[in-house]
Amino acid sequence: MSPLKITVKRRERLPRKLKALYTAVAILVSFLIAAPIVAVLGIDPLMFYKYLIVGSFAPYSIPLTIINLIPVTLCCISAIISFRAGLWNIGQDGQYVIGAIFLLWIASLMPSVPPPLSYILVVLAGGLAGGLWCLICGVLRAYTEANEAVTTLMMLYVASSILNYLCYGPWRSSVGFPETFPLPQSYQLPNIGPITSGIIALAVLIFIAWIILEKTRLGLEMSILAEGSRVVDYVGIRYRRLICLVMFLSGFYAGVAGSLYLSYSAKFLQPGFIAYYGFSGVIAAWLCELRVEYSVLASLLLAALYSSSYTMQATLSIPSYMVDALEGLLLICILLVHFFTRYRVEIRFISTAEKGDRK
Amino acid sequence: MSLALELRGIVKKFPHALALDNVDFDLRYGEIHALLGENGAGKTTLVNIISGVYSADSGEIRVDGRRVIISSPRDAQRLGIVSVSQHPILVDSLTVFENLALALDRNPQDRTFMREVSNTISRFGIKIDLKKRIWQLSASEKARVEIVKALLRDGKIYVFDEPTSLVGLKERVTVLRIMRQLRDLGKAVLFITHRVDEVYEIADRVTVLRRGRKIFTKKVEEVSKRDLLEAMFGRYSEQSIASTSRISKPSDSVILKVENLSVKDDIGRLRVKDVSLSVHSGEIVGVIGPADSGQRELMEAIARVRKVERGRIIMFGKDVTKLKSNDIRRLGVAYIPDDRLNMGCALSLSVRENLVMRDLDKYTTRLGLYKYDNASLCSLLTKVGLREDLLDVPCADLSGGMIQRVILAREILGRDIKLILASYPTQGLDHETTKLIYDTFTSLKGCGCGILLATEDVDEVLKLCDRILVMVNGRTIYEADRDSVDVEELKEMLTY
Repeated sequence: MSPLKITVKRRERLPRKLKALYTAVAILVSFLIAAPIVAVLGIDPLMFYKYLIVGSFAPYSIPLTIINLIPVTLCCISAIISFRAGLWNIGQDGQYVIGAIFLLWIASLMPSVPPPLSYILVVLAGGLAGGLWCLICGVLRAYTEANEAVTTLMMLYVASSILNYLCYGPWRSSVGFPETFPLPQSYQLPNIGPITSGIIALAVLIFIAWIILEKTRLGLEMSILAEGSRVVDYVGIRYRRLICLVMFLSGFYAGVAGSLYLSYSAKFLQPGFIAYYGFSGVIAAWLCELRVEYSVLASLLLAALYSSSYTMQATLSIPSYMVDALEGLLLICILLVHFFTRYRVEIRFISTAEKGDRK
Repeated sequence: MSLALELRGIVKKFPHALALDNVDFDLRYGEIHALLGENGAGKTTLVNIISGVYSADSGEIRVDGRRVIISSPRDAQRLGIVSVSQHPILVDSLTVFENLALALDRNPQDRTFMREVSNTISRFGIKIDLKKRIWQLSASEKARVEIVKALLRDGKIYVFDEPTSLVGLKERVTVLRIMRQLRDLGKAVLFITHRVDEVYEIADRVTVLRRGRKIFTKKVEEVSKRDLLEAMFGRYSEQSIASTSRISKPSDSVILKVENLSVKDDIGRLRVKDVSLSVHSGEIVGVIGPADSGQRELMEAIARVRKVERGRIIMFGKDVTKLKSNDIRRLGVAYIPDDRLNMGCALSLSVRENLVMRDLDKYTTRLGLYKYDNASLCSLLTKVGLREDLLDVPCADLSGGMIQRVILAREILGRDIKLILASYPTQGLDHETTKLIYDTFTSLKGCGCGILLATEDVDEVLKLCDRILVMVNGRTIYEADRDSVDVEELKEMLTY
């Protein structure tokens, strides 16, 4: 019989500033835990931290960080949209791939569309395809109660297989590598100075998401949906339609992430096109507490990890999965902070006298 | 007969209520001890403390004379306390036998366990097919599985929590017989019930709880039915009946008419059977009955948040059987649900959002943005006695009474109300909020509003209602004007 009695109790709500402080501590702790792991690999932890910063925020690294920031932020918003409504779309990477594939197909059908129009097509084609891909899971959830966390994740592997098939099969370029023909020139977003113009699209999309979530009836209905079916019936929300709409919107943002990335950075598809920005986006969504206005900040941290992983691989020959590990540590630390800011854990020793009585 | 279980000075507080106030209780081997009380008297809390679901705030528990601490259901089992729940937890896709093996942590391939189970079943004369899967069973068959499970545990102290409330007549006889058999084997049996007749049928001693306090423990043969009823419900002072505020007489116009309504509950059992009723303008109609008699489901169906199986609901001469909750709201109907926390409000949203959420059409601009007038929302809050600065506070941070005030403000104030559907509107609430609700109802009734009130509180119906309906087991068995109600008879009906 255990002499320990552990109870978990709900806490009073914490002030927002204190919560932000705890989140910062979580980030710091996850970085500290990485130190011994790096040391085991035979690398000086101080060098690791140095390149973590240099590799992402040195002047020459910033454009690369921004290239990663755009898809991470869009996937982060995709996650926020669905999580706010109590739906768990975690297949952003699948919608990302489908968005890019659809754009490439549209562009190959109409290669001569002139620039301003073609740029709008980049966003719409990717969003529509990603949205419809995710809507499949939304319909399954709304009408058959299939768990959307499972279906969105499984649809990721379907999307990934379609990508492989196209790269090795019908869309394979003449070069011989498993990669497709490139996106027509007019569909490629130009750079403004050293920085991609995709950043403008990002700013607009963030603003639209913020309006939807914070200012519209739809955003309020989403929050009510997250509260459970009883209150939804009471308020009189048509929840099946709402679930489908939320899943479409969520997929839309992830799909745009894919088509934008194809347009300003990748230019063509290859099996390695899935860079798992989606999973990073999910982590970022928790990091910013599902608030769109902080999504860029949270995503910046994750994007920085991406770009520094390239640098570290090149200079310190640290395997890039070290950064994946760091991401995982980050998620665990954030979730722990979430738990401990909501609950208090009390550990009480039961006195021996009481114990003797229990038998 | 030696003492099996002893409770001394048990106190249990919940955030807004004192559930048990210094309760003493004892249980002997070889007896059936009935614990009697109306709903909310604290019976279930006491059972939960004995079976380790809750721990008491203070007081001591002794088993076989030794002081014990029961901090989990596992602890209770180790001490030989076996409880039979009214809501069995079983795995639908497994067979009865596999469920038994799972619950007792035994190997389903084990021949000796198979023999043990079939011995127990035949010894107690329980009819059950061990090879059937749980989803194929009826509710009363599931209750039987729960009983077999308890018998296999071979405890010393058996706790039956309202075992007869959800099963049919035939099943009731079986349950009572098993309790008798257990007593004759020298076990201690605690029988929780709200039915007075069953106490006389089976119990040796009876303890009555009312509002968290123990009224008395007596030998069954030494206590009259009248005493038991009075102990359960208290004595109604003539004053409480006289203090009625029925200033206005109900008019002749019918605003709500329910015809032959049948409704199922969440797990598909028919809980409202062929109920008809009507509410006139300026009239308060009370629906009262023992716990789980179908009042909740009836109210939810009329408020259009639950499907109607058969029958019609007519409001203001219009058939609304197929309409949704927000459609009838537009007709001037207010609904105060019993499930305040899960249905009545969105806990993580702010008070402001909770005030507007049932009128989203009104607060939405053509672009889909929502817009509200803070001043009018603030005045709603002041009218129900809440501070204006609560507008941005999430409902989760409010007390039960404050949440009910928010619901009241949203449902009743600031719009033209013709009919109120109120389901247990004062249950578990503080005195002030209860008074506010009574006053609001009375003044609206004066303005010609009709009110349908479901409750388990006899005081409440006597105080407020013009007409009283008693609902038992899904049917209305009694209807009378308040003035012609026989209070003794009414109390007795609540123990069916």
